[in-house]
Amino acid sequence: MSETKASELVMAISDFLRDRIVPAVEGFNAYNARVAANGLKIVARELDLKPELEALDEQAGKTFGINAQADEIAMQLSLLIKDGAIEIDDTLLHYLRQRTLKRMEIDNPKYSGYREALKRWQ
Amino acid sequence: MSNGVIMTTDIDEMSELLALALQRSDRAEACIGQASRVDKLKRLSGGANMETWALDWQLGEQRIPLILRRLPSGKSESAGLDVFGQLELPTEAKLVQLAGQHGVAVADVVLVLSPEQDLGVGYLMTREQGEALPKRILKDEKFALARQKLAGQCGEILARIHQLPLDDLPSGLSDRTVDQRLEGMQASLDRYGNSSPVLQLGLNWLREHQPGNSRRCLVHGDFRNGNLLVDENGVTAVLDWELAHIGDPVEDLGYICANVWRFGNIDKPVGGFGDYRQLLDGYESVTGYRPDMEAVIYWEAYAALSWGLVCQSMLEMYRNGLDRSMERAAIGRRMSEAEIDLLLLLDGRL
Repeated sequence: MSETKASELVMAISDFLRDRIVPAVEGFNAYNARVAANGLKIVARELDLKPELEALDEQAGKTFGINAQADEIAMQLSLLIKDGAIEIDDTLLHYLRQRTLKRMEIDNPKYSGYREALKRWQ
Repeated sequence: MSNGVIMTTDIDEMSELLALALQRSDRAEACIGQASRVDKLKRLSGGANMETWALDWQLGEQRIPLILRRLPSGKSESAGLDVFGQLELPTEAKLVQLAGQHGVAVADVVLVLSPEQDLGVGYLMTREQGEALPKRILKDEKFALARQKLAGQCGEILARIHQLPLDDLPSGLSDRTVDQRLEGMQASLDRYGNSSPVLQLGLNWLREHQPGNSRRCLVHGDFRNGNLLVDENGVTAVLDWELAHIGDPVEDLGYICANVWRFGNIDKPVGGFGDYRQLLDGYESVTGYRPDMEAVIYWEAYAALSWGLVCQSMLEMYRNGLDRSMERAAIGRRMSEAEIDLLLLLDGRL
């Protein structure tokens, strides 16, 4: 037995908004209640998947020799790419694909581009 | 949608001002002595940078459904979205009129507001019939026949837009080289902290793969499923001209194919309803010129990167307090769509 996980609680609130509030209101409020329900789903998925995203970033930090916090590594890489200071090879592309797939899994796993990319790269 | 609360008295006052202003339009001048009245004025949408209203104009016995587009009350210029390079509304009105004169299906501009009318900056146009919601256009049985024709029609319509004489265009249209626009995108990426290696990779690729022999013409700039009114026979009107500019015609052809505007139908590249061949056939039937497929892909990648930057700048509007709506905060999480689409497009092309 354990207490409610944060992601479970947020998902339950999201379902409540979608199932009970969206149908009960109209127009602007219904639209935004749907945006809110979706937003909470993103939060719930991030609570569960953030450690996997950070592990990907930390591994990339080691691979590409970037000494920074997990959430800074992508930005540092971006600056290297901007300056042409890193080779665009399969190792880099593999990381960018895995990282984007993980972020899509959090942000919107229903997106058609995500389904397509999963077929192609996993 | 109606943002904020609008008092009935405000609606009544605004309706009266509109009825007065409309009396000065060419349509009213052609029917001298007819009473002018405005009913059912209703705010359709509105953010920090644009208001859209629906209204019914009663001119004598005629009832004319209209749309009003104007800057949020009290503003004389749009704020915050400089990254998009939006047109001034009177320029947009002139452009819509010109497109209509050259056989492009558009609403009829009825009146451009002037300052003494006390209604702000904007214009009124006819409210055309048709469906604009992409999901309905892609799913409803009633549009089954239209879906077969839409991609070809889009090619034909874009061809006509691209053939508008440059000399006749209103002044105030952005006219930048691709290099200048890519520099602008780099500045946006840098301004927002350059947090996405994929968007940066996409921008580098766009720098290195510019298509040769590009032409120069009017580009609609936002021609996609969602900005077209559609009935059972296809397109009835092209909407949302505020991103029009001078540029390479293939930009519009790539834009309508961007995956984000296919609304889930990834296997139907043109707006989720058609294929590349239909679009290019339609285009060629009017212009006699068939754009190169790799150039279309180039502009599709450009559109994906643009979408990422739009998401980023909308999030920025939330962060800097210009527009504190939840939707603005949430759209920041759609940047990953742009990234996955760029990675798919660049696969095998790097």
